[in-house]
Amino acid sequence: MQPEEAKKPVIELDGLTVQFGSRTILSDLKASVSGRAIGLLGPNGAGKTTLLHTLLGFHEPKRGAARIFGHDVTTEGREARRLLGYMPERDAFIAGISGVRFVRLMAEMSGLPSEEALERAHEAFFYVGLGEARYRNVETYSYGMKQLAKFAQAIVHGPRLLLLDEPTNGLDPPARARMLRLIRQVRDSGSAHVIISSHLLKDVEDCCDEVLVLKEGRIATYCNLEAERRTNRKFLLVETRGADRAAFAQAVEKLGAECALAGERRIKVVLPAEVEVQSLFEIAAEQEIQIRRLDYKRDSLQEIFLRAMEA
Amino acid sequence: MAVYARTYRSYAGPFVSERARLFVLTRYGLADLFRSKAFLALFVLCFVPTVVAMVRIYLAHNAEFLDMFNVPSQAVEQLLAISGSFFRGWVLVPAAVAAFWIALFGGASLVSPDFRNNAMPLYLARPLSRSEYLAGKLLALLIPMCAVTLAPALLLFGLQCLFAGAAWIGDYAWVGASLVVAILAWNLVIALFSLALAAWVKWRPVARLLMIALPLLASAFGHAANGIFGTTWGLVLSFWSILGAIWESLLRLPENTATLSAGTAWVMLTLVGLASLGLFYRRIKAYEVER
Repeated sequence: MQPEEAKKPVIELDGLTVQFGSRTILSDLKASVSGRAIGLLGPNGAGKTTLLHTLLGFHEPKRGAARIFGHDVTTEGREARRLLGYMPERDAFIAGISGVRFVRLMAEMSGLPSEEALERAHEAFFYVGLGEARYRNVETYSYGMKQLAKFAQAIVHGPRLLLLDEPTNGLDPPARARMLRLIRQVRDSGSAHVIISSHLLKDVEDCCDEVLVLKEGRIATYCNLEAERRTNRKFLLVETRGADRAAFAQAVEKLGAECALAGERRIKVVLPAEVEVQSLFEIAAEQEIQIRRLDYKRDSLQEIFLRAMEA
Repeated sequence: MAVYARTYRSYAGPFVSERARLFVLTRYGLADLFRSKAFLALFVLCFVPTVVAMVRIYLAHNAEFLDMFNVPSQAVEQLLAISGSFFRGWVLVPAAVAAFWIALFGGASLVSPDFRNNAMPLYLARPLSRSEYLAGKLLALLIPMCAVTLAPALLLFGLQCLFAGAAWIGDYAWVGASLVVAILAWNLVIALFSLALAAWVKWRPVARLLMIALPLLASAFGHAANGIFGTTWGLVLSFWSILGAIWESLLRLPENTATLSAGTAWVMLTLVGLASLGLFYRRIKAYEVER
């Protein structure tokens, strides 16, 4: 990568709008993403995969632009794709050839000389843990092995940005743990940025330092997970039963606390430092309301996600 | 890096030029084709008519050598005279048949594995355009096709020139150009036809079956239409009639038996080629989008 490319944001979305016929899939996305590992979250149909495909040049934007390390994906698609590695969600391989030949071909397609491509293909197979199976026909691989082979072809040419579409889909727990470990290693190597599109919040929380949440083709939130964790105050999650929950919350607020009703029975409470938890029980007794459960919590990715969905 | 060092590392080595990358698909395609023993056997078999034709050219110019065996050389000379019919029957017909067989086996082998298992997103996520994918695969098919058609045709024409001398070359140099045009046109069209079929059908045996069945069905339909409507326009659906008309025109054969005009035949061949090209190109997509 050129030094000037390294200084540019990993991804810039500048009013990016993508339409399929009359359907708007992505609408006016604006963001500048620079994280080492970025989670792309959103419910089904939010436009996560379409965004990845647009970055890869598979779909042409209707309006706006998307840039990868400063290269416009429409006008400089070839330069942009030179820096990318892509692992698709669905099964994707070439039938009838061995695993190592498949990955070698992909390396050569990315521009590696033949000898280097062969060496890197072997390395990639050992790295993902398929070394012993590298001469087997890809068609004979199990689902988990095919996922790893797809991962191997995505990293074989040493991309600067790795786009992973649902990388742990359909994997059993050990295979999922292995995949997440590989992703974290690539991230921690410092030589590649990673974008993971997933609906599994735990996976994103495990691997990513930033999240971009999409909702109905728009950016619902974009945040740095570590910063969010630092700034999020510890709160009490109080589960109540009976009487008037809102009145209880009002009474608690008079102590100087901040309250928010969450769900049907729960109340989030941030108590001032000088107020003891005992005060909550006293108010509950006065209001004839039962406190069934009381937990100290911090906002998790799930809360961030749900907040973005509710906004 | 040693294989025991199982850590991720970036690639800092050299990259090949954009132009060299174009031929990666061709190189891999050729290697995959010739890995098949059946294809290799077919490839070798395609040269048999050329060997026979070479013997015939030799005999046509060296008939006196048959006198040793009490075979009347004059009669043989007349029988084996090298004419336009020779180039049609011993060069163009075997070339067309060989090209068809190579396309039948090669087209599906080159393209089906990519489409059957969704490999297109993997190709197109790399610095490779749809046109380059098309060119790479087409070239992988055209190279063996030209090796069994164009190369023998030029060899036979060269042999004839060698034996016949300068006067013959002066009069019939155009035959060489005609052979090249006729063979290249057919190779290109049949290669695109087989690639387009394989890309749409995905399943190799079905693609091959259709490649045999579709021309036969079209031809049968054309002949039936001719019979029913009392016309000859049904011949435009027959590859064989199209080729016959084009060859007779290019070789300036006096006995013009074709019932299609050369112009119509060229238009039909071009249409089939363009339609196949369009269909194949349309299929080269990372994903189908539902609009």
